This record gives sequence, C-alpha cells and structure tokens, in this order.
Amino acid sequence: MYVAVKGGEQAIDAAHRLLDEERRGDRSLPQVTLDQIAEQLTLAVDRVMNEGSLYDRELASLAIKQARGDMIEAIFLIRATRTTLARFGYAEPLDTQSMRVKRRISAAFKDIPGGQILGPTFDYTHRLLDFSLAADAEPAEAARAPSELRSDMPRVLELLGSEGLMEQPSAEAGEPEDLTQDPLNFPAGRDLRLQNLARGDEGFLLALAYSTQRGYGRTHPFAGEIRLGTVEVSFTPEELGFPIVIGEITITECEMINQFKGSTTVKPQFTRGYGLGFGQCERKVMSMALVDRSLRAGELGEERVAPAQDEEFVLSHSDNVQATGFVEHLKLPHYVDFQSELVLLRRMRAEIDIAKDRLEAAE
Amino acid sequence: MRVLSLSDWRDLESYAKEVAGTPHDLLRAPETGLVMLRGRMGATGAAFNLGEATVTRCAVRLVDGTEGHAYVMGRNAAHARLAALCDALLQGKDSGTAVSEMVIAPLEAKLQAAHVETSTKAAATKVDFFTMVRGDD
Amino acid sequence: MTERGFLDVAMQSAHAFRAIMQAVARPGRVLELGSDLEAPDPLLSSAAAVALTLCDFQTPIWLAPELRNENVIHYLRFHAGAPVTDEPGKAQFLFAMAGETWPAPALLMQGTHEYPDRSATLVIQVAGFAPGDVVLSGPGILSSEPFGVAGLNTSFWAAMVENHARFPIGIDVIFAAPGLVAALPRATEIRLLESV
Repeated sequence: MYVAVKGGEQAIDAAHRLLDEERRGDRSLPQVTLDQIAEQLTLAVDRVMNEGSLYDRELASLAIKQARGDMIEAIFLIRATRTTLARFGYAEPLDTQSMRVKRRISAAFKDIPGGQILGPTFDYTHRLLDFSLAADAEPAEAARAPSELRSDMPRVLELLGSEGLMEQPSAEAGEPEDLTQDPLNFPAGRDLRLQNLARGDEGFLLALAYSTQRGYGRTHPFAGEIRLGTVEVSFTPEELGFPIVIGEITITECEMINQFKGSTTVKPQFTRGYGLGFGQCERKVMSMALVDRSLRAGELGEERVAPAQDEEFVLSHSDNVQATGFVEHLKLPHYVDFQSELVLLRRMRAEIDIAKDRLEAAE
Repeated sequence: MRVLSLSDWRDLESYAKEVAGTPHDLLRAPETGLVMLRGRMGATGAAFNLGEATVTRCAVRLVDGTEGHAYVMGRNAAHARLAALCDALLQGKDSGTAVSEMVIAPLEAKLQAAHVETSTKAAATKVDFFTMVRGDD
Repeated sequence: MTERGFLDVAMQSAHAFRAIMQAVARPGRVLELGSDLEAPDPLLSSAAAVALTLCDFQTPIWLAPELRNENVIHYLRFHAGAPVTDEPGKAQFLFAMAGETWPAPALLMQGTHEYPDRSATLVIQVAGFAPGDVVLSGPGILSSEPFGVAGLNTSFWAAMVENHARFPIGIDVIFAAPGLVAALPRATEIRLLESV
C-alpha cells in the first residue's frame, strides 16, 4: 500500500542547496571547466558515453561535473537527457576496417601485417605514482615516425578465416532489434545481447569475464585483435536518400579468439567473441567480447552451467541505471510496508506466548 | 558535406566568414536530435545497435531557391546552419567554385594534416621485434 | 521547391499535438487546428500539421492517389523524415480524401491483442463537418454526440461500425478539414441515422 506523505519540501530544497555547495568545494579554487574534463579526464568521459549510451563528449563532461564524479549518477543523467531528444534515424553500420588506427595489437600473433601499434596505453607502465603530475609538469611532445601507418590494416581474424580456421560471422541482412524501442524478451538474439552489453556496467562485465577465466564457463580466449581509433559515421536522411558523413567518433574494438567448435559437416574451427565501445575502453570491450562468447553457449551447443552463460541473468543485471534505481529505492520511505511487517512480527510473537500460556495452564 | 561535418567548428567559422552573410531562409531551423549508431557482430557480420549520438541538422534556401542541407554530429546549431549554407552555395556554378577554394580546400588540408599527425605519432609506437641471438657459437 | 514546415517547431507542434489529442479524447467533437506551416497542394495544412506532429522515420506513410505527387512525398520525407510506402498494409499513417478511394479499413494494420497500438491511423481530408450522419457514444462522450462529415457515404460508416466491432484492435480515424480536426477512434460506438 502507498500512502502519500507531505512535509519534506523545504528540507529537500535545502538539501539540494547544500549539495550544490558541496559540489563546488573550496570556493577559493577555480571551478573545473567542461573542456578540462573532456580533455584531461578522457576515459571517465568515455565510460559515461558508453554506459549512458550517448556519444557526446560535452554532455558527458557536464554530467561528470554535475554528478561530482559519481560515474553511475553521471550515466543516469545522460540516459535521462537522451530521452528528451527526438531520434532522426539509424546510422549505417560503422566500418571498423577503415578505422584510422591509434592503437592495434594482437596477442595471438607476433608478426601481423601492419604491425603491433602500442598507441596511448597504460600497459608497460610501472604503476608508480608520478609526482611530477602533482607539480603540473608539462609532458614532452609525442614522438613521430617518418611515415604514416598503412591505411588498410588487415584484420587478424580474417587471416585465420582465409585458411578456414575461423568461424565466419553470419551477415544476414534483417533489421537488428533495438532494446530502446521494444522491451527485452528472452531468448534474446545476439544483436540485442551486444546492444545490452555495450551499455552494460563495466564493473559487472569485468567480473563476469573474470569468472569465465577462472573456470565458470571456460572459453579459452586469446585477444586476437584490439583496435583503437577513429571511424567516420554515415547516415542516410530520408529526404536525401543517400548516405552522408555526419562526423567522426573514437571507438575501441576487441575480437577474441576462443576454442574450437566443429561438427560432422564442418571441421573444427576457432570461435569468436566481439566487443565494441565508444572512446578508449579496452577493459570494457575485452570483457564484452568474453561475455558475448559465453552467451553464445546455446548456439554453440555448450552446456549452460555458469552465470556468464545465463543470458537472462547477465542481460537483466548488466544495466547500472536500472540496478541503482532498484537498490537505491530502498532508502525512500517505506514506512507503511515496514509497519505491516512490525504488526505481523508482534502478532507472531504474541501467538507463541498465548500458546505457551495455554500449554502451561493445561499442565 | 563530409568535410563540412568533420571539420572543427572554429576552423569552419574562420574560413567561411565571408559567405556566412549570404542571405537565406531557414527551410528547417537547426534542430538537435539523435542518431542510433550501429556496429557489426565480429566486425563484418550482421548489424547491431551500439548506442546513440547527438546530431544537429539544418536546411536553408537561398534567394534563388537553391536548397542546402547539413547533418553534423554534436549540438552546435551555428555549425549545422553554416554547413547547410555552404552546401547550398556549393551547388551554384560561381559560388560553388568560390566556396570550394575558400572553405573546402583549406578545411580538407587541415583535416589531412591532423590525420598525418595522429598517424605518425601512432606509427612511432609500432613495435620493432628483433630476436636475441643465442647459442654456443 | 520545398514548402516550409512549422516556423516555431517546438510551440507549433505542441499546439497541434494538443488539438489532436483532445480530438481523439473527445470523439466527434470538432476542434480548431491552425498552424503557421506551408503545405504542398493538395494537402490541407491541417492534415500536414497532423503528419508533421505525429509522423517520423518509424512511421511509414501511405498516400491516396489524389494526394500523391512529388511535392507531397518530398515534403513528408523532408519535414517528418517519414518513408512513403506503396503498400497500405504496411503504413502506420494513411492520408486520403473524402469521396475518393482508399483501401478498406479491414486491410490496414489492425494491431494485435498484445500490442493494439501497432495499428494504422487513417487521416481523411474533408471539406467540413455537419452533424446528421451518425450518433456517437462511448469513452470520452458524456451521453451521445451527433456527428457527420461532408462527402462520406454509408459504406464508410458501415466499415467504421465493423472496425469498432474488432475493438481493442482496429484503426483510428482523424478527419482534417480546413483549420479543423475531429477524430473517430476505434473505441467509439456508431449509430447510423436513417437519413444517410
């Protein structure tokens, strides 16, 4: 039962003013600007864009500032904002083959056409705090090679595909389903699963991916190829009828190679998992690729035994805005619900006392 | 359209300064909305919906009736309007040549220079494997 | 050349939405629907306002032959972003003129019992309204509402009676006259008057 209670209005107003002041912090310091957040907390912005499911660096930066750096709150703000905007349509699928690569590595092959490009990575750093940053030291400019990278970087998994060692993704044409338009139903197709994982919580996917490596639904993965770079976005407006380039985005892509699958008609082949995300988000797309592969258990004839293979479990709990809504709603007033539990508990205890008294009287 | 959309707003504004004053009507005032971006499963397979992006569109009509369109990622109304105006002017014979030379060519050169910078910096991080010689002899 | 859509998109489409919503909520009541848009011939500006307010890239539009010309198609594509289809059975919105031909309501998208909203809306351009054809009753009508539309014959009303019989599935109808709008949702009961 819900009963309306009034009286919190002034307290709520004052709480919001206090929040504004706490957000501002020490007023003798300059405020952080959105440009500073967008340029210097880049990976935080990327995470908010991914899980907020909206590519807009400026809005994500504003959300981070408003949320005082609370990522899930910032993601919530972005999700709320996207509901206020009309949708013009669906873009053409991104062509990651034509990515302008900033980083591209393979853990499966040392010598790959185009080479191993490390790019701006935390890998191989010593994880020692750099106190020169505390002193605002300006870094040296990045080194430049005399020539550019080749523009048509071949795909590592296609090299295996040409030998027939790699399963080929099916390219059936139909319109993909869209979980922002229709409610999620099970069983979900791989298109819906990937959309769900792309906006899923990084921590949740990381933990699930880790669980598959520790034995809960093992898939024997190798990082076949990881790419970071920019791709152009094409969109076909109804009134023009032909695709036009409307901008460029940074994305990270991960293709995992997993252990074999064969049948009486097809010789054993490697299987694969796929991850794609906005900005630089390697941990996220690697986790996504591992979980994508685990969720293909049914399709590949594997027994579903682990949480990461259970699509209903994974897809229903991956969204941190839904999750935080349900967990955090517990702090809202439940006075009446709790009263009913209190009454019930008291009655149960009283009934035990009465029964005991009767028993004693009978003796 | 590609160059007009990809270019930085500040660059477009400075190169298109002279044409920005061309009289025109708004066929559709700048409007910000969303486009759903898509990826492909396993990079080359069937499409899936990845997430949305903000886009601003605008359409203009010149005095002679020529129409210009623009769709530009982000929420910059002025960028979409100026890009639509340039698109309309590009369709005219004389104005097309002028805008190509004054606006498109320098913007394209800037984009190209930025790509070279990114690519050569990335290329500097390419691993140059060598094998340590070992053995008894 | 493209006719201009709403000048002040946010305000004008909100006003139009309000008028259409009221019309559907009060079946048979004739409401004003004025707007500042230009509409290509022979599309009435009230019908154009319905299209630009309710249609988008996810709502395919079918146009009756009398309304179908390049200007109208281009106008709807440009302003609403809506695809124009040749197949009435695939359209979410259909635009037709009173007294001319259009596909039988039973052939249009009816929705399903799980999703009755996945159905078509038929927008009919009419010259005006004159009570006398039918008496309406049902949700949104206090007791009964006399209603009539210029240029519609008995067979139309008979089809609408059948349409109501299929409730909760079925189509909804919006009538657009110059500067005016009225609606006949599937939930409305229809009693034909003898004189028709």
